[in-house]
Amino acid sequence: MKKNILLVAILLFPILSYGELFLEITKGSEDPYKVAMIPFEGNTIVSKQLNNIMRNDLIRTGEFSILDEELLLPVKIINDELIYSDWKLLGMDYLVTGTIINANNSLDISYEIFDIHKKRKVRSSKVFGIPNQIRQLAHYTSDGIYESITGIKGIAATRLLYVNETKDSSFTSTYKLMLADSDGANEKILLSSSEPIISPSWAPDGKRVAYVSFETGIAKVFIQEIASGKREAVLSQDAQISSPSWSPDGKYLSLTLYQDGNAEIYILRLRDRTLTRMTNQFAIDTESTWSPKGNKILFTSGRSGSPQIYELDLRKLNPKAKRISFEGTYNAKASYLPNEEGIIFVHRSSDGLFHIALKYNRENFIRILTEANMDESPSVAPNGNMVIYGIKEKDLSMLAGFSLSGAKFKLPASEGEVREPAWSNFLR
Amino acid sequence: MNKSINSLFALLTILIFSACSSVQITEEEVADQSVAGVSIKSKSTATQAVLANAVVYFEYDQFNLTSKSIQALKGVSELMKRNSKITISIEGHADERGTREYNLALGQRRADSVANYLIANGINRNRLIKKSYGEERPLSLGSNNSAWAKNRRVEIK
Amino acid sequence: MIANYKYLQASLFSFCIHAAIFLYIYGTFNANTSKTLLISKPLQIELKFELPSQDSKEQIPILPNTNVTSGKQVSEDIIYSKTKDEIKNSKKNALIESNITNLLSEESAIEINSEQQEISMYAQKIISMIENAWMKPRNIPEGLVANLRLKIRSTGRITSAELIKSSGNIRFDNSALQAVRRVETFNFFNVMPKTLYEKEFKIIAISFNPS
Repeated sequence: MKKNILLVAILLFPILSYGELFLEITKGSEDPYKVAMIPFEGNTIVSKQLNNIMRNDLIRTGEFSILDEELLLPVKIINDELIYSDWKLLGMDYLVTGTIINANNSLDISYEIFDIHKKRKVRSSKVFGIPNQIRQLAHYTSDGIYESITGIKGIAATRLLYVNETKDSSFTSTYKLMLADSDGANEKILLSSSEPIISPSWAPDGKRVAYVSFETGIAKVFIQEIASGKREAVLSQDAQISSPSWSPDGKYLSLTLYQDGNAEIYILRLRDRTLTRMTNQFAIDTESTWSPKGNKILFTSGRSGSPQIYELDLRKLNPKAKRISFEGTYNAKASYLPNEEGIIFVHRSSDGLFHIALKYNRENFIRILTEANMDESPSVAPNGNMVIYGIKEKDLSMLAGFSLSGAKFKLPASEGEVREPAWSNFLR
Repeated sequence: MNKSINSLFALLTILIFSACSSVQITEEEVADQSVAGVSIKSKSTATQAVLANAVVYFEYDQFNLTSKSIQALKGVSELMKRNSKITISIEGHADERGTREYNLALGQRRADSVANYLIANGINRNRLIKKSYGEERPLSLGSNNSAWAKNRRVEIK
Repeated sequence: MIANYKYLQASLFSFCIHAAIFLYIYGTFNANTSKTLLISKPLQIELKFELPSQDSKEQIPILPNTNVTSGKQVSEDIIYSKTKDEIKNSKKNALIESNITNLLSEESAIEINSEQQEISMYAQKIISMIENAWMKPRNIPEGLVANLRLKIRSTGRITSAELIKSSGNIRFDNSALQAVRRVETFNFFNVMPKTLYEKEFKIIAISFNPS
């Protein structure tokens, strides 16, 4: 048997990216801000590209409706004052203009936002970048525009992790852990394996990821540094470990261990690899996730007879799991909204179909947010306004997303199938 | 001052995320690192046949053994009593519905059920290696009841 | 003379006490009606606001076999589970606490002066203009209330809209500001008597309360 050196660390530079997830916007929302965006002044090609990316970023939030380019009017300025009446007639709320500045070895953008109702400029800002990173620059700019108008931080400049599975002609699968921009562009392969990869999880600093790999024959959790590709198994013992989740301060990893055969939740302190056991009962306890403030953990437990969501308060000395899902016979994979106002999770409705659901703490009912039948692995964007999750359409797994304001989008795989998305934290 | 900090920041962020490294793992290496002690090839063909037939199936959401499964396991139990050197790998699976991690744990519970039965029948627990693949290794592709039923299983090797 | 003076003092004092009692009683009767308008002079904004009691914290026990309706409706993306009290599910809910119609008819039973009637009429116009411009954002928790203070010119043009009470949810707050921004001008202000404008409508407060 040929024994080639098969563990290869491939350094992938931007030019060798894998491909691109194709972003389809399938639905807008009810009452978007109506914005007219004039293509920025400067290099036409760059301007066009920037314009396209920014439009898509803003439309995808579900809170913006960008005026069609063919309907744009020339910007009228008389005595240094913008004439607002034209835009008013078009029903616009805001106008965005900008300039691309080519300086030395950099590409910067300066942009202005005008409030059509208030008839004045409300924002003037500058974004700095470097020439090869036009996409990044566009994302920073659309985030700036988004935040100026809504007061909410934008997520265009965040990133996604997900798993790709591709089968060859003999139906042998290759699994890849992928990294991409929030719009699916700029795909990079972090790990390629002939064995399954599941449960990718972002470290809060965006520099490392944790995931489960079956490469040793059983489920094991690995931590990998994105930049260098350096990776290590979190625990050396030969036991099954899965479901990693980073604490908000990056110092701990909550895990599921199967020490005595039964899935239980443990917290691993990364500094010295000490383990603390958090659950101890006969049923399944898994899918742990931390609260944004780091003092609570949500997890899925089968202790009541079916999977339900429970919460542990880590501030207590001997925390007791508190059940927080009461509707239906299957509630799992919960995560907190960033403002801890509620949780997003997978819910099985009475017809047996799986959907992504939302429950606000102050309400006693759940809201079902998706309508396919095998929706899974939801991940909330760091501004709490969007959720990405996995769907199955015509037997093909792909990613889909929605904004709480009602916009929907899909991210089908460039090849094979994609699933298990994880949304990064803010990266700037 | 702001400008240089901003560009430095942008530069750093961009460098970090553009210089990602990719790691590749393939088949041969997997075999080298396989779980110690279980070697399929060392079992006789007859043994392998018995084990291959002893697939245990489960109801949706359930991990308890049905009377049918117990029948299948009787053969395994006897086999192991006859050949006291054999160790087996008990691998649990689940169908694709539901969340992946919960299914991994469910597969493990199913493997446990089988192991517990054998232990109760006098087989030494050190001869049993339990693991789960959750929904990651379906036997039957397809999103219908028949495919799902085939995937809710424990295989013994 | 001195004796008379003492009597005068006593009767004056007595008159004052009676007047105070009378006014107090009269005041409490009237307080109900003026509170409902929720559009008042700036001084009274903080005091007058009767925010709905936060009984959303009250835990309605969830029955074990409560059903969740499945998401088959394509037109309505938000599906609620049924609880003990059915939750209303309209897209454009009345935003301002406006049981005004009900209370106005109630008021007709009580004698009110014509000024109050005029105020109510203009208030109603303001509310309906804003109602038409407001789109409540989806998927926000129930029981949210946001209050804005508006400064309005005599022409009806809204010169400033300030968030004086945040609902705690940015999208909700934004939607309130956006509604007011879209209205821009209450054009019926030019038929409003100047004195009424100066007294009641120069600065108003609006409460956005869909529940």
